[in-house]
Amino acid sequence: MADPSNGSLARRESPAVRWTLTLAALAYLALFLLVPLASVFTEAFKQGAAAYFKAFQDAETWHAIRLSLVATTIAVALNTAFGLAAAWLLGKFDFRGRNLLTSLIDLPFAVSPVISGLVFVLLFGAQGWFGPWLADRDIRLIFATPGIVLATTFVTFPFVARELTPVMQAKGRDQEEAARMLGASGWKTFWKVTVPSVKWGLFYGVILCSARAMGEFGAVSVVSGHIRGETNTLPLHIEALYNEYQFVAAFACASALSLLAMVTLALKAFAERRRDQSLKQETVP
Amino acid sequence: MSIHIDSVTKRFHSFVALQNVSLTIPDGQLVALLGPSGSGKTTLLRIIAGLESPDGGTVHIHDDPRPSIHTERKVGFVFQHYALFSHLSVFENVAFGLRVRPRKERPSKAEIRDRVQKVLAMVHLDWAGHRMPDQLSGGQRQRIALARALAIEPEVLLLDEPFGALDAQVRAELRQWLRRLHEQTGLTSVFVTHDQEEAMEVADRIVVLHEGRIEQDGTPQEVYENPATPFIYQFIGQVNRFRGRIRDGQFQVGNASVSLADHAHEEGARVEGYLRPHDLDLAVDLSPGALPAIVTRIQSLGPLARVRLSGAHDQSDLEAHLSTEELSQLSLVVGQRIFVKPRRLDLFPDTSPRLPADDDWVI
Repeated sequence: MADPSNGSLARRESPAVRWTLTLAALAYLALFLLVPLASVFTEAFKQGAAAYFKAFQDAETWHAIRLSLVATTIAVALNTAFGLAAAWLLGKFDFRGRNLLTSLIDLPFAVSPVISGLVFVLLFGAQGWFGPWLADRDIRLIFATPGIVLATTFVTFPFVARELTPVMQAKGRDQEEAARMLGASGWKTFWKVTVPSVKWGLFYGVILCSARAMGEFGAVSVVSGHIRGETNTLPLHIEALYNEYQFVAAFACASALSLLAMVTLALKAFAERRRDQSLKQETVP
Repeated sequence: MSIHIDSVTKRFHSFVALQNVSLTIPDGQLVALLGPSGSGKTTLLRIIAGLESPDGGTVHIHDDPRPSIHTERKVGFVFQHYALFSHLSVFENVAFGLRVRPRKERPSKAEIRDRVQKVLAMVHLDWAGHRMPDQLSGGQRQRIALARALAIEPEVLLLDEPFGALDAQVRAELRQWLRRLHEQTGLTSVFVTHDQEEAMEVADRIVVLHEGRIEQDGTPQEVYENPATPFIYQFIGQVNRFRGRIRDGQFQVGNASVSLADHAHEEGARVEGYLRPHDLDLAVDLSPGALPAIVTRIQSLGPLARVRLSGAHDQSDLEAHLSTEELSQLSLVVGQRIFVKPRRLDLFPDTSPRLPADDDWVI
């Protein structure tokens, strides 16, 4: 079995079996990935391009897009800063409570988004633990933008940290130690050596985090209150349009989200390749 | 700059890496810290660098008390795996130490360029400034790492197994080159190695570490010719061992006795005799103090011949080095029974468990 060119099992199967398996796999892919995507665009353009673009002239749609972008930007910025710090700590140091921190970072992955939304309502809602205190000071978190940002941040919390920790670990501590021996301060070492050495991993993490933040539905749905033109993010707005039988508008918005997802996917593939290349440089002298 | 290490101790959890190590390295010396893995040599180097802090004891460079993490003291450090900044060009790697200085102390752009070019020329890589580190070979990368350390004009130079990751030929070249560089710069330098040949060839002085302690400290010649302990005998160079006893003030091995000049061992004590292969004489005929042995292999390489033997009394492996001339006079053949006689011998207490056969030879 040492020579894959004539020894591999797949090549010894009869052509009929090979074609059947390949077609089955492709059919599966088409059914679950391509058909839904195609249907989004078909539905969106069902009444022609004019109707499609008209859907974007609606003020509420634009508000939803803006709100989604604001929530995504803030959540990604916060989680990038946190993720960078956490990955640096977990990847470069050994300390008591390391495993506990790793598990805590994974918590949002384990908890259903709807539950995390509910937790925020229980904490900050009108009847929640901090509700009266916030109401006294006229601060609104739930059914308002801050709550949406909070929920989005919570749900996308692990992405950057999870992505960066193994990259930091693989890079080791040699380069940082070299920088310190050359007289660089900790701050300069971090920005001039640590961050550049993980930049593709960081980019990849940010992309994943953004994609998830933009598409978040469950947690945001609970804390938003669905106030049209105020607290509806793009995914919530799509649901509202759909429920009102405005199919073209709903699918037009969905196609915008899908396009964003595809751009993200392309960027992700690019970042992934660069990250793997930079890791390879490190391990093969 | 001289380095003063005073009773330094370091533990990693329950593992004791260094025990009460004291060492003074005078200005301009090139010192090898030699030892097997786990002997504490790298830990000691990292403590000198300030990359680790000792649990007890102090390290001073010159006479100033050192800060715990070293920023003011200029120490050049070369890592085993180069630790070049992979996202920066060779030029930027070497310039790094100058560019990160606080604005007041930072040289001008032109000065940085000149300085970098100068050290790159010193390591014969002035053509490589625009390359990225991964476009260079291992030997070239290590020279860049050295140039980067020299660019900050360090007061001492520390090298952690600098040639450990390179292949044998490049390693031999770089050794010679490091030695010449040291003669040029006169920098106080300490390098860690587990390769005794490398230490012998490059260093002015060898400090042998074993289990966190300094086992011996001396010139390469002293360490080779007068090993202080059985460990050093075995770690540095080749060694023959004879197990025996002290009888009537003589070293008795099997049925033969070797007369001794002076020794500190008690009558009847079990001892081991250590000697280098070139201190073992071969003879075809029995003479007083000679031990019987069987020739197992003869290997002649240039002027030096190596004869492998098996001790007749305990089947121990022995090796004798002699000139090819001496060999031809003896006209040995494999399987021949001959006699070996130690010319000089160091005795150490035999701490190995006693075998039932031990007492057989005495009778």
